Amino acid sequence: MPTIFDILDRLAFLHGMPAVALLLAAAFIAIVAWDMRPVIVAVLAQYLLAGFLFVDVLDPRLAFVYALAGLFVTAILFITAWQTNWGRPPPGLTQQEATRLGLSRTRRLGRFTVTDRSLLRLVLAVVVVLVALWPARSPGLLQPVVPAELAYLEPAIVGLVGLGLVGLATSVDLLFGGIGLLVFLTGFSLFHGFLDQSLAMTVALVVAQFVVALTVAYLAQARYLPADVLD
Amino acid sequence: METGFPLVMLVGPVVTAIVALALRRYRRVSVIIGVVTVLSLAFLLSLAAPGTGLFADNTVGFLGREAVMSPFVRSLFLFIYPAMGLIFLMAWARPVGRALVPAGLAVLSLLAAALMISPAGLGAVLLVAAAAVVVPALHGGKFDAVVPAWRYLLLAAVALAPVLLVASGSMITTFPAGWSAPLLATLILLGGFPFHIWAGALGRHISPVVAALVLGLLQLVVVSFLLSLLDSVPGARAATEFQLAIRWSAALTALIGAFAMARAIDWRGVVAGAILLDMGLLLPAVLVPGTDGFMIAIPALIARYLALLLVGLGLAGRLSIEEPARPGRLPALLRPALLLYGLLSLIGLPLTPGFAGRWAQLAVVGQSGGMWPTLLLVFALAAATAAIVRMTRHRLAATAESATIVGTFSAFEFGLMLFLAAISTLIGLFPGLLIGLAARMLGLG
Repeated sequence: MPTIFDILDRLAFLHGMPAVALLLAAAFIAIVAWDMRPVIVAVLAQYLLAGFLFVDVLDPRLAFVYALAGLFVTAILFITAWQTNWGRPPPGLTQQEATRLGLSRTRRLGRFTVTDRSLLRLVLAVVVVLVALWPARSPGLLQPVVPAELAYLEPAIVGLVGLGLVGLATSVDLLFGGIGLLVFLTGFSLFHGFLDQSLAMTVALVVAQFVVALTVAYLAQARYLPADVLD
Repeated sequence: METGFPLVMLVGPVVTAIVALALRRYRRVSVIIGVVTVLSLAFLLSLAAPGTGLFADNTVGFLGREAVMSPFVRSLFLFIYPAMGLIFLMAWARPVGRALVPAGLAVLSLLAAALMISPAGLGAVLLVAAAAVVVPALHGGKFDAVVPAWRYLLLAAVALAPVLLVASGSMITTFPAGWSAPLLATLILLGGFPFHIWAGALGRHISPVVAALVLGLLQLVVVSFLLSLLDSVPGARAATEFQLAIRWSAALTALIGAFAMARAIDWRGVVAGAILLDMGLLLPAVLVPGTDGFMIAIPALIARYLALLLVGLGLAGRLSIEEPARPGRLPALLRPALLLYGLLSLIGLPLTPGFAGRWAQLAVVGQSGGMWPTLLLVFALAAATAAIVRMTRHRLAATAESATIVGTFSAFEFGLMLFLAAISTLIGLFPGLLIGLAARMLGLG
């Protein structure tokens, strides 16, 4: 049975910028995709990669707890997405019902049907990723909180926080908005790890993510299912 | 692990919340559980004076962290427990969702922990958990309440970031604009412009009784937490940019509230606007350091709690078409009178409980902040009063045309109405009562 440290040794080739690039790619997909199936996979990848980056900030065992918590959060989101038709609105909605659900106008782009809102989200997410990559060229944006030798984490922090804000501000659907919030909290936790490495705060931030995931799941179902099912 | 009285405050409500949750289908049974729990906690807390009394130990340790029940926390919860009992009694009188009692009990534990635990960062996470726990109560089985409940949770969770930055002190020492994180934390937590979206939507779609819990009692703890946090970073509070932003945010939030009231087509809309107005007027309290800030905020929040209960009883509950209205009968007049009095109290007019903190709030905005924010606040108050008068005249005319539909209520609800009306009138006549209560909580009286 390999230990945490054995696993980290095997993943050494990912250390540094490769992990940051993959993390940003996963977070980007989690925010801009409009079907929950790729989103859930991207969220899982995001948590695992964030856990990997946490090794440079926290005790590796705490970082492992963070990745493990991400697995549970992803499981909660997966079950909720499955029960709510993968984030797609119920079929056969009238114009009035669509308005009540806050669904925006759709347009066809080749084979795809996209909403104005998802196009806006895509554009903003691209801008955020470009802005996040700027610290990679000129590190030191978050110094002295982030030490110079770990400056490669700056794009990850800026990118996750920015992408999370884009996701939560541009989503009508609670699940997509909730994922934006979770991405934001992951980015902030990475930053806060430099300020407070105590067991209590790390556990508290993990618990906050659990609480958010559970509440998002409850509200997503409340929006999708009849009230008596919830009662 | 020490086992002082705070352990009872942290564990007791959670245990009974689980029981109430299991029995939530029997609404009145869960109400009885809730009322008995909070009254028992209030009784035990009254015996638990630090250093003396039956439960002398005021600390509890867990995983190396310490939760300390300060005299202020004790006084605050001596008010919060009975006040929560009153909210539960409202749930006896009228259905406000099955989740209210379990959520109300569970949140008591989290709120107590948030104020008692050290460091403040942990308290901030507990406040997010408290916001999550009340979400089922906010939802209350209503489709339209889902999005407001989501916005509330969303902003409570987003506020975690600036609050943790303030708690860790990093923004003050490492960033040039050390006031920005305290400002963001304040505006998000208190629903100030441009983060007012959660407050207005909540007022529009949730029951005023639940609003009394979330925007009254829960806010008491949130504001106490925030004021303590700001006291720990005096440099931020002294920054001109911080003061200017708070004053203008207060004025704009109040104006948006007054505008919403003027545009409202029903009482719900008026209530939502009045809540927003009141939230805007609460903001200046954060500009005042130390106990003076608490002395402004606590009476204002207690008045908001009372006003929302009055509005909750005043808004029509069960409608009956069998029993025609009989003009002149006290019960027929009491409901609209309570609604009107509650709304006027939310605005903070004289002779209402809301007046207790209003003058101090306006005075704070006027101090060295230029005259425009103060003038805008006064204008918002005038516009809000006009909106209430307009809606009252409109509704009176409508009632005269269709006088066959009235709300009915039980003797219990009638008794509750009389009790709240008496308390509110007393405070309205003697605003010093609320200020004296706040002073006693802070150990000044």
